[in-house]
Amino acid sequence: MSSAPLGPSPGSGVCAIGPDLWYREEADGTFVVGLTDSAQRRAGPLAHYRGPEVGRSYRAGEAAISLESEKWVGHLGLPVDGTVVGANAEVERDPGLVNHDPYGAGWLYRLRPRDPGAFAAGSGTSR
Amino acid sequence: MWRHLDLGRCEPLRAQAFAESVAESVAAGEVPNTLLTAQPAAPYISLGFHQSFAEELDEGFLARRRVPVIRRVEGGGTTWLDSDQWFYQFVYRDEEGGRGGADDLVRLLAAPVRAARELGLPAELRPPSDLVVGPRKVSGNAGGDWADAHVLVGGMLGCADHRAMSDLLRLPHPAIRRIVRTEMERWVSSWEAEAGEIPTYGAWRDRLVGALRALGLVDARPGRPAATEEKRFRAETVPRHEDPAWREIPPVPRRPDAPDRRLRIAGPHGVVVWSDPATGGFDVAVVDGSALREAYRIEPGTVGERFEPLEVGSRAFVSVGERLRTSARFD
Repeated sequence: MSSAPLGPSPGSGVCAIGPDLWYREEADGTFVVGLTDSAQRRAGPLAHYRGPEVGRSYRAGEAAISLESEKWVGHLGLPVDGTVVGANAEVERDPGLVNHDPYGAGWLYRLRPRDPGAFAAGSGTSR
Repeated sequence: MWRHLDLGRCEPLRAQAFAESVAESVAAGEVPNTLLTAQPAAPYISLGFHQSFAEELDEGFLARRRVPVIRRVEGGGTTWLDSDQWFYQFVYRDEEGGRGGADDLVRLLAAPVRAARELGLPAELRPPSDLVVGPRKVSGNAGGDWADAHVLVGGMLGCADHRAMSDLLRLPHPAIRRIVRTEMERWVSSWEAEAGEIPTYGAWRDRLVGALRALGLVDARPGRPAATEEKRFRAETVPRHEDPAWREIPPVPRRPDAPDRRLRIAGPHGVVVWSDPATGGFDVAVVDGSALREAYRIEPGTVGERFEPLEVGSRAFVSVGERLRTSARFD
């Protein structure tokens, strides 16, 4: 009997929001956001990543980040309205971190949501 | 049913970026999914979406040639484009022409392959996105999502201007430029070089449309740009491309161990350059996939054609191979 390989473990406190993103609430009320393992597998090996502008407020869905894999550029919006308070510069230098460690070193940005309950309202099942 | 907009011979920005205005109309459902074809009337440089103007382009070349630089919404590397190349662009809504990404490249590029073969060029697809004859590239392709539509762009190389292709690149030493040009001559070819005779733009365009229909991929019927697309192109697309903030995005900071230059020539073939601050010289690797084919040590005083590859197996060759293994590959 064969079994499908398991992806990396997301760890405790990590929840999915939408088909592509995960989040984890931090003690200071901000939320760390990243690409899920299934999303990075669909995207393939990332060659380029540009993160959101730190300090800027975005509307949910507004294009904030861009990714490039196998010569195709895609854009992702923020999952909820909010202000970006941090970005993972290491991922811009080495986008492969998203492929290798999507729930750890490959996190994308940190967000302070306009409505603190927005993540919980929009999230799916706990991962 | 798709719409076919034949832009014909037109100025570079229209050839490259009118599809962005079309994408907005396609995404809004105002017009059908659209195939665009075009032939740029003048030379220009196209930067991939994530590429930095400052890191990629040679200032001297830009000053001499005064060609426009257009940052496209699709991925891939820096390209030299001129009237010896013919473009196709597929603009489509999600799920109607595909979901975007590498699968769409593979599926839709079957049509340019078929059109080329019908016209006597024995092209085939080298995934994810090159059309090749043997190991040599004759067409580059890339994609991107724009305004909630997918855009796939590609071009057939009628003739290849290897000198312009290599001279436009920002490179730290003339000897390295010479190496890059040699690799381009080796791996980037053209319709003229492979088949001898180049079809007319019109003959190629009609074959492409026929191949898309014959393969059951796209049934495109001649159409015209909507007034809103023309208006949006003038009012939004052109100003965006004239804005330095769009064209000249800042470079992403590099890892400390990253090479100074990592150039993909075509498919698995590339050139990697590391500087040596201690000597002012450079190590250069000529790479096929993950294999080091040639290595060079360019000293500050190296001039003209007087430089030779390092002896395979020599200590210096092995040293370049070690740097390559830890920081750059093209497979």
